[in-house]
Amino acid sequence: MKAKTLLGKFETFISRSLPVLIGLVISFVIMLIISDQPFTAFVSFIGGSFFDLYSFGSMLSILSILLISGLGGMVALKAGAINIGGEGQLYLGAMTAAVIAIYLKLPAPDFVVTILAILGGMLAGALWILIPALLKSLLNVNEIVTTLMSDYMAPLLTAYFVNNVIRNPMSGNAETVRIPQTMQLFKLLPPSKLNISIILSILLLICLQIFYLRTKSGLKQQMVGLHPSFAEAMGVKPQKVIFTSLLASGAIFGLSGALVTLGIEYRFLQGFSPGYGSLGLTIALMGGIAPIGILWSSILYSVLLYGATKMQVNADVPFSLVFLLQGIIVLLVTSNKFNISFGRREKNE
Amino acid sequence: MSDIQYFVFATISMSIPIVLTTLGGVFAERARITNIGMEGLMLISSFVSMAIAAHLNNPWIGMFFGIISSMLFALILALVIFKFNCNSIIAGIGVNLLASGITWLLLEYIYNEPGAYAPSGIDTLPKIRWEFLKTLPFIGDIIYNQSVVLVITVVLIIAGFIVMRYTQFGYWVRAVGQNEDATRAVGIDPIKIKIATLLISGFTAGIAGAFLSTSSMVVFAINMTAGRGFIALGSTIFGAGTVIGSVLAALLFGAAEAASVRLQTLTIPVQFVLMLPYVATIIALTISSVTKRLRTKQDNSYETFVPSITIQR
Repeated sequence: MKAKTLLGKFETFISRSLPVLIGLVISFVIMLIISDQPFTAFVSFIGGSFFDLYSFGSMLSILSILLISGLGGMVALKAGAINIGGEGQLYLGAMTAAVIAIYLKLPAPDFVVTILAILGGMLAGALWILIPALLKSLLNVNEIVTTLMSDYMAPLLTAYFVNNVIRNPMSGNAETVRIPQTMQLFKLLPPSKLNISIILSILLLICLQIFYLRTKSGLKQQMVGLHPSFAEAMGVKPQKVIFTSLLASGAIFGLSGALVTLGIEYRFLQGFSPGYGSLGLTIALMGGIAPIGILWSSILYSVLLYGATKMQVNADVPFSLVFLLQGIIVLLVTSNKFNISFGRREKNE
Repeated sequence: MSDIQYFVFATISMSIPIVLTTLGGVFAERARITNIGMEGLMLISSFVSMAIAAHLNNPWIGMFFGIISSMLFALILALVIFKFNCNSIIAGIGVNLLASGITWLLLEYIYNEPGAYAPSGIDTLPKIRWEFLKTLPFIGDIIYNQSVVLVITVVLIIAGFIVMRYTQFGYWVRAVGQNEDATRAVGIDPIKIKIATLLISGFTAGIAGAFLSTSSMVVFAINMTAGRGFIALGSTIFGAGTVIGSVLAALLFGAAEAASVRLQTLTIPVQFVLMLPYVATIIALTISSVTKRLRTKQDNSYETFVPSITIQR
């Protein structure tokens, strides 16, 4: 283990960032090849989020979603399970939240409905992963394949509902009607879409940090992730822990879907997500499966994701470059050959 | 053609890409280097085959370069796993994302199309049109008009079976899967074997990808493989890593896909019908898990195959 000195922390930061740097270099090379104005493209990609206050607010609104998705990916990974169906859970969460906000009529203030919509989204996300989680914990069925299969099914399910049941008949797109203004999440920096979900996401981060560092259940989760057989010997039931972690992961992805609906899109639109859910796993891995690391990686990715939309407008480089970058990062992120140390030798290793 | 014949015809043509990908996946799985990246390997080959086929108006050269691209990606996967010490599962997911990103980017950049590109008037892979087939009852109609890739698939299934069971290489693959240290002790480099199996899965996934984009019409759509690589992974697990078992499992998933195409004409909403292959995969994995559990209660020998998916971090 590296000592937790400032230098040591800096070194881990650099070695963590190397896959990202490699990815950015490759992205830049691609821009040089395909673009007529590669420098405009690169500046927009990296700095597009900081051009003006509106861009900055929009970047932060993406950050709130990506941070939660990253935490969702992390919760499963902590217990050693891989949930690559985040996008599907996010879809279900987003649709459920929209349905509750639009159709639920209660003799209560509107914010109660908003809270119910958020909770409903979480429940939907958790339900969508229930079967893979049950199969994993009871029968040890490979959760990668099952969560991915449910990931392909979710957009089909929402497409059915949004086309046949809850469609806005006035719209040409497959989408619901808009959520009443009073139920939308409070905006912090209008006209940008930054809203209180950024505070929610930070709260969730702090809660999870405390959970994993300070509580017994958090310790159990990590024990199962690192050494399942050791955990079993210590009297922890890995099946149970993996089950709860997958369920929590699904619920968190559902939460981020609900927040997209209530705070950014204000309706459910089929195909609304540029990979908010599938980026969750990437961000969790980039952040070293730890809450603070995930904060950094989600900041980085929301800067790039928003920058990519700017890049597409300002230069002739398609938005899909971010997906390529994502691939390179995930490909290299678990490498342990990037560990570098400045000047001093490691003792006792 | 009767209804049953039509269904079998559709099952076979839907199964071809899954069977091919499964076949390579079996080798990787048996060498305990589960290839999660097969989806991406298929996808990159689909794009490259389509692009080259459209450019040269020759689907065979397209397929050739598709296979090359897919094997190149398999090589990248092998490189990051064995040279950079990456987790093989995560790196596999990375390959899928990378293939998805690259093909998406190229589709937008080269053809300026946001979702799909289908050049018109390009030759597709030829069909089986042997006249003697028409004289055969039942089977004739099923085979006639299938893609020539079916012949390649059948040849590869037989070859895969023979290689796995009767050749030195197959023996090594199985040995590496069962006990890596023992193989190292007798002078076989397990890493070389694993890389070879990854390349084999790149080869077959490459053919499968070319089939998807250049057989019935020349077309490429974003993420057009639609989970078939993972369904193939499901078949290798369901087939317990045996060539014949996994191919049969792949046929099962092909049947589910054929059924989903067939049922679209009924009143069931199309979205639910399209879920069928995915549901079938989940059910099949569950069944294989249950039977494995029952079997391991009686038999704990080394022969009992255990899928190698675990995360070490």
